[in-house]
Amino acid sequence: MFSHLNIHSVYSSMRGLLSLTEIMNLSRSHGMKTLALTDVNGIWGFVRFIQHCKESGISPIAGTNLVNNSGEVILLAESQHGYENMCRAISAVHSNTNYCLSEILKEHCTGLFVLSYHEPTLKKLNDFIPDTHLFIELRPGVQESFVNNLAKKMKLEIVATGDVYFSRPSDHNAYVTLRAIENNTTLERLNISDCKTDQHWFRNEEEMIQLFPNSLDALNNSKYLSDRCKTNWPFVNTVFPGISLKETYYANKVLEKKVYTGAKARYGDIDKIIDKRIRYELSIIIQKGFAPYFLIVQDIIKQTQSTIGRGSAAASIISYCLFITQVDPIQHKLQFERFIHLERKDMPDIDIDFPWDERDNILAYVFKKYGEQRTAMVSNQILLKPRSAIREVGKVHGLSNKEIISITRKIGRYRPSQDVDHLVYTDSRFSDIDLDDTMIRVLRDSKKIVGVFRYPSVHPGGVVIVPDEIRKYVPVLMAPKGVQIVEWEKDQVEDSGLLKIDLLGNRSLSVVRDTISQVNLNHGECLSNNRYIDYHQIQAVGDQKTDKLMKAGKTIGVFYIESPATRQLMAKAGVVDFDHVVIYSSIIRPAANQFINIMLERIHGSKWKLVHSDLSFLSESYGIMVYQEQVSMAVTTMAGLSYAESEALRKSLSRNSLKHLIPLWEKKFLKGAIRRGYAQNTIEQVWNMIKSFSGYSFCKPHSASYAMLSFTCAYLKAHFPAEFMSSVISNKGGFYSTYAYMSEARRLGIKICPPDINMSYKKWRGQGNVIRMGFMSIKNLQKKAVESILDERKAGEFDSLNDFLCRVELDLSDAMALTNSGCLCSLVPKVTHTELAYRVAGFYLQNGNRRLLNTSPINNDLTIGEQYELELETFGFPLSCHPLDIYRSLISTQIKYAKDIPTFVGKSIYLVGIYISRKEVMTQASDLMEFLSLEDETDIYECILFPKVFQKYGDLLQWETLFILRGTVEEAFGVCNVNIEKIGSLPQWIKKRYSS
Amino acid sequence: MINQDVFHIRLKNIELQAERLLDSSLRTRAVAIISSGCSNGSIISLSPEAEEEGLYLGMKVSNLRNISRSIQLLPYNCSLYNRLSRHVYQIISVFTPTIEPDGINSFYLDMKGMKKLYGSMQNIGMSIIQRIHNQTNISGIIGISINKLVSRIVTSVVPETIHKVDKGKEAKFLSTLDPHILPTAKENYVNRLIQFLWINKISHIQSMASQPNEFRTFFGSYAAQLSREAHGYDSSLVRPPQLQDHILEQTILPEDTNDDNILYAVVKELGEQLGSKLRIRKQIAKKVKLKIHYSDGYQKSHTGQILNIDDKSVIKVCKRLLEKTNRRRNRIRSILLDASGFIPYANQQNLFSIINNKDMALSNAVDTIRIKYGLHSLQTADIAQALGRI
Repeated sequence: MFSHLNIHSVYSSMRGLLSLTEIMNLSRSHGMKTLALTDVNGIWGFVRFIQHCKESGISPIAGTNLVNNSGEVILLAESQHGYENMCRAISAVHSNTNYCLSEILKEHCTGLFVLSYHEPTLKKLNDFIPDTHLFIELRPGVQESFVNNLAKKMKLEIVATGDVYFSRPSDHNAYVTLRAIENNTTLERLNISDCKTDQHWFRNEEEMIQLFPNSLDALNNSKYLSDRCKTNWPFVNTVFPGISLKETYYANKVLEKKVYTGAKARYGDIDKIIDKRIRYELSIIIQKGFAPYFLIVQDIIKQTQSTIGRGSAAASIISYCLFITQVDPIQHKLQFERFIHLERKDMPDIDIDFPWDERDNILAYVFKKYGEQRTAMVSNQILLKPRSAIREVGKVHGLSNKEIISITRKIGRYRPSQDVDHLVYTDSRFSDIDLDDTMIRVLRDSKKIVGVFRYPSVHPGGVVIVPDEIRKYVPVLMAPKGVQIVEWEKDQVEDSGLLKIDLLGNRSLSVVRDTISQVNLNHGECLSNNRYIDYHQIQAVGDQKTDKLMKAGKTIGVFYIESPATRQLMAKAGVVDFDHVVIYSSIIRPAANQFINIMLERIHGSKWKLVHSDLSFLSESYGIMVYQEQVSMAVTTMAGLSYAESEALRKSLSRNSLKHLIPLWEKKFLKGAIRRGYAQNTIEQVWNMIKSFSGYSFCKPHSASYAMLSFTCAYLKAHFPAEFMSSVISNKGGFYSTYAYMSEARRLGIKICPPDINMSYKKWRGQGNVIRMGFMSIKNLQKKAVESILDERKAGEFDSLNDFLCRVELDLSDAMALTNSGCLCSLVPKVTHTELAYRVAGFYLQNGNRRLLNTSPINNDLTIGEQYELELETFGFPLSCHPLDIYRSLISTQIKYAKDIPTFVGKSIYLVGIYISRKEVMTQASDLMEFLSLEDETDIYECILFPKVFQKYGDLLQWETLFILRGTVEEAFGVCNVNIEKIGSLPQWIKKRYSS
Repeated sequence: MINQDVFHIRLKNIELQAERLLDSSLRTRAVAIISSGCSNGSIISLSPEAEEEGLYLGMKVSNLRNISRSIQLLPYNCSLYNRLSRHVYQIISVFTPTIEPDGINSFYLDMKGMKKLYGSMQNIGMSIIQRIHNQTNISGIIGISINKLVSRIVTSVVPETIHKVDKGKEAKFLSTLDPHILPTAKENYVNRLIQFLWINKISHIQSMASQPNEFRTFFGSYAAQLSREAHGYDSSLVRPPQLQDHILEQTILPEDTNDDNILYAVVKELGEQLGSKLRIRKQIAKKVKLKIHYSDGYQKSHTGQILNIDDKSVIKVCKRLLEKTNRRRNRIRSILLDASGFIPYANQQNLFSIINNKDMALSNAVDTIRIKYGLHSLQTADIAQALGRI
C-alpha cells in the first residue's frame, strides 16, 4: 500500500511541471485515495488542490517541502493546529532563507509530521520532535541501505515518497529548462548537480516497489502516515475581523446609527420605502454578522473624498448611506439579494475604487490601523503564459529580445498554449520569421512549461484583514514592493473564507477630482447655485448637454464608455438615459457581440418577445441576458437550481480555473429545464445567452455604479471640456494615447498651448477653451527640476531669460529640455529658437561667474519640418501641426477627409490616417480580425479589417502608424465604418510614388 | 602643416558589386545584402532596384520582408569582399607605394610627387579608376585634396567619379556640408550640442570658431580638433598596412549561438591565428582585447596581455578573456581579437623549463605546415568537431 506524500505541482515555483488536473488524473488512474501536495516553500495552490480533490474523490493532505540553505524537510499537517504551524513555519522561511529549519520547527512543530533524509537535520529535529512525528524519508536518489542504517542508528521509522516533479521521465528536459530559467543561465552552464534527476516522476505502487524493492515497510508506512493526516478542509466559515459577541453587538449598534445619519444626508427625509429597505438590509447584515465588515470599509473610505464602490455592494442601501457606493439602489431598482442572500455561504466582498494616486496612502492607513499582524495584501500568482514561456525559454537558448518579440507580439493574449507552434507555421503574419532549429526548439520546449508558477506579485488592491494572526490562516511573505502579501491569489483567498476588501486605484476618479478642483479654481465664484462643485452633488443624469455628448458618441476620455465599441454603440442606439448606459456597459464584453445588433434593432423599434414568459426579468434589457443576476435567475427559474448552485454556475463561467466545470453545468441545466417542460429551442436560446457570460461579465449594481461615474465624467466633459481633458491627459493611462486626447480636445475647439515657464504647472491645466501643457510632458526633464522651477516661481514670475537662468539652478540637460519644449520663448519673444538655444547652452556651460553670451552666429528660424521633429523628440507627439499636414500636399486630392465619410456611404474611397487605437478579436470561426481607429486632420474614424484583409495586412499594424487605405463606407443605425479593402504605409507609399 | 596629395578611392557598394560579379543573374534584380538572416539583421548594401521598392540601408530584415517579398537576400560574404579588396589593393599599388586601406571598400593613396610622372591629378585618378574597372569590372570614385580628411569627405558626399578640392579651398568646400560628417562630431557630447544648437552646416561651426573663447566654452576639450576639422585641416599621414599597430582577428559565426563548446572552439582558432602572426613578427602584445558582438547588437569586451607567443599560452589567455567577457545568455554573432602594444619577444633560452620550449617548438612546427599547406590543413579535433568540420 502506497500513498504519495511528496508531490510537487506547478505551484512549486520553476520546479514542478504537474498541473493539479494532471495530478488528479494520474492519481485516479493509479487508484490512489489520498494525496499530499508538498510544494516547495509554500501552499500556493492548496485551496485549488482541495477543490480538485473534492471533484476527484481524493482525500487531500496539507503539506509543504521546506527548502533553505540549512536543509530540507517535508511537513504534513496532522490537525488544524498543525496546519496553522505549517503556515507559520513557511512564513518564517519566507522572511529569512538563512534561518535554520530546526530553529523554525522548534517553535512550530506541534501537529506536524516531519520527514527528512538529511542526517544533520534529522539529528537536530530528533531533540524536540517525538519519534511518532519524525520520519526518515526514502526518496529517489537516496540509497535504501543508507536510509536503513540511519533508521537503525536514530531509531526512527522510514517513509518512502516519490518526490514527484513531473509525470514521466521524458519531461525531465522541460524540468531542466525551468531550472535554467530560474537560475538565469543557459542549459550548458546550469549546474546539473543542483537539479533533480529524471527519476522524480509520478510512479504507481508497482513502480514504487520496483524502485525500492527492499523497503516494503517504508512504502506501507506512507499509507499509515497518510491515514493519520488531516484530510477534511471545509473552508466554509468566514473569518471576520471582530470575534467576540460584545464586539459584534457594539458594531451592530454603531452601524445602525451611522446608516440613519447617512440616509438623512443622502435622502433628506426618510420615507417608509427607504426605512423599510434599510431595516430589511440591516436585519440580514446583523443576522449574518457582517456589521464589523461594513464599519471597516466605511472607515477606510472616509480617508478620501471621491470613491466609488464597485461590484454587487452597490445594490445595498446600507452601502449607499455609508457613502461606500454612489448609486441609489431604490431609484435604480437594484436587488439587495445579489449582494447578500440568506442562502449565500461565502463572504460578500465590497470593492472600492480610489483615485489612483491616493491608493497607496489608503493602503498605508489600513496597514497602520490594523497592523501587519492582522493585515496582508492579496497576491497575484504570475504563471508562465504562452508568451512568457517563449520569452523565458528563448532567453535560455540565447535568443535576443527582438527575436523573441518577433514571435510573442504576434501571439494574442488569449491564444491557448496548444495553438502556438501550429499558429507560427500556418499564420501568414509569421512568414517573416526564421524558424531555425533554435526557434523550433524554443517553441517546442515552451509548450511544456506553460502554466508553471513563476513568482508572486502584489494584487492591485486586495487586502485581507483577520481578527487575530494572519500567519495562522495562510503563509505570508514580503513582496519586493515592501508590502506583506499572502500566498494565495484573490480566488483562493475568497474560497478560503478570508475577508477580502478590494481597494483599487481608478484613474477616472483622479480625473474627476482634478477637474473639479480646476473648475472650482477657475469658476468657483461664478457658478450659480453652488459656489463650488462637489463630487457628491453633481446631477449628471438627465443633464441635456451631457445627453447630447453621449448620444453623439463623443465620449473619448469618459470613464468606461470611451472605447470605440461603446462610443459607436451609444451613437447607434441614440438613447442614453441611465438605465440604457447601464445596459451598454454590461453588454460590451467579448462573447456578447452577437446580441448587440439584436438589441440595437429592438431599441430602434423592431418587434420582439421574451424567449419564454417565465423570463420576465429580461424585459428590462430587451429580452437579452445582460447582467450576471439574470443568469442566476434564469437557471433558478428554468432548471430549478438552488441559489448556491446558480452562484456556482456563475463563478464557473467567469473564472478560468473553473472552466472545466461548464459542461457539467450545461448538462445539469439542460436536464433540469427539460424536466420542467421547457422546449428544446427555448433551452438552447437561453443557454446560448448564458454562455456569452464566459470570460468577464458584470452584475447590474456594478454596471450602475460605474455608469454613475461615466455620467459624472461626461457631465464634466460637456460643461468644462478644457478642465476635463487636461485632467484626463495629466492622469495618463486611459484607453488612448496623450496624442489622441489632444486631438479630441482640439475637436472640441480647445487650443493646446505649449508649456510656458511662467504659466505651466506640473500637470496640464485647462481654462475656457485653452489647455496649457504641463511640465510632466517634457521628456528628459527631471522631477527635481520641475520642483525647483515651481518653488522659485512662488517668489514671483520670471521676467527675463537672465532672471530665470540666474534664479533656477538646473542641469544642462534640463535646460536643453526646457528650451526645446518652447518653455522659455515667452521670456525672449523676438528671439529665434537657435539663438535661444545658443544663449541657454552658453550660460550653463560657463564655469564660475555665468553671464548671457553675445548674439549667436547661428540665427535661423526652424522650418515646419524641423519644428515637427523637435516636438516629436521633446514630447513624443507633434504639437504645432498634424502629422498628416506634411503628407497632404504630396498626395492626390482624390484622397478624402474623415469629416466627409458619411457622404460616401456604399462607396469605395481612399483615406489617410494616423493610428489611434486597435483591437484584435476572434470571429466565431476562430479567425482573427481587427477594429482600427484612425484619425486625419478633420476627424476620428473607425475601420474594420475582416479576416481575409487582416491576414494580408495585419502585420503592417505592428510597425506603422501612418496609413493610406482604400475601403468601403458602410452605415448602420446612422453610424459609419470603413470596411478596409487595402491598407499600406503612407511614408512608403509616398517614397515609392516619388522615387518612380 | 604637412602638404600631401591624397587620393581617397571609394568602391561604391563593393558587396553588391562583388555578388553581381559572381552571379550575373543578379544584375537586374532587386538585391539586398544583409548582416544576418535573423529578423534583427539589417541591410548592409542594396541595389538601385531594391531602393525603388522602398528599401533602405540599415532597414531591419523583419520589416524588409513585409515590404518586398520578391527581393533576393544575400548573406554577408566577408571572405569574398576581403579577397576582392586585396585584389584592388594590388591593382592600385602600381601607382604609388604609399597606400592605406580604409576598411574593405576604400583606400588612401599618397600621390605626392606623382604629378610629374602622370600629368594632372585628374588624369592619374582617371587612370586608377579605369584600371580597377578594367581588371575587376568594379566602379569607384576618387576624392583628391591635400589631406585624408577632406579627400574622404569628398568621396562620401560628391557623386562625381573624380572631384578635386584645391589647396586652400577646403573650408569653403566643407562649409555647406552637414557637420555630422566630421569625425569629432560623432563624439556623444559634441553630437548632442550640435543637435541642440541646430548646427546643420559646417559653416556654423566655422563662424562659431571665429570667437575662440565662446567656442571653447561650448565644446571644451573638443573645440580645437573640431575647429581644425571644420576648416579642413588634417595632418595625419597615409600609412601603409605593414606599419599598422593592430592585429585584428575576427570570426562571424555561421549561426548565432550561445553554445559554449562552439564559442571556445572559435576563440581557440582565433588564438592560433593571432599566435601565428605574433610569432612571425616576433612580438608579444601588451594589450589584447576580446570583443563579443551579441545578436541583439550589444557588445562587450575585456582586455588582457599576451606575454608568451606559443599557441598554448595565447589560447589560454584568449579563453580566459572569453570567460570574463561572455556573462550573458544571448547568442553571439561574432568574436574579435584585437592585439596591440607590440614589443619584441625576448627569445631568451630558458634553462630550467623544458615545457615552454616544447610548446614553442610545437607551435613553430605547426606554423611551418600551415604556411606550406594552408591555415586549415592542420587543426585540432575539438575545433573541427565543434565547428562541424568533421
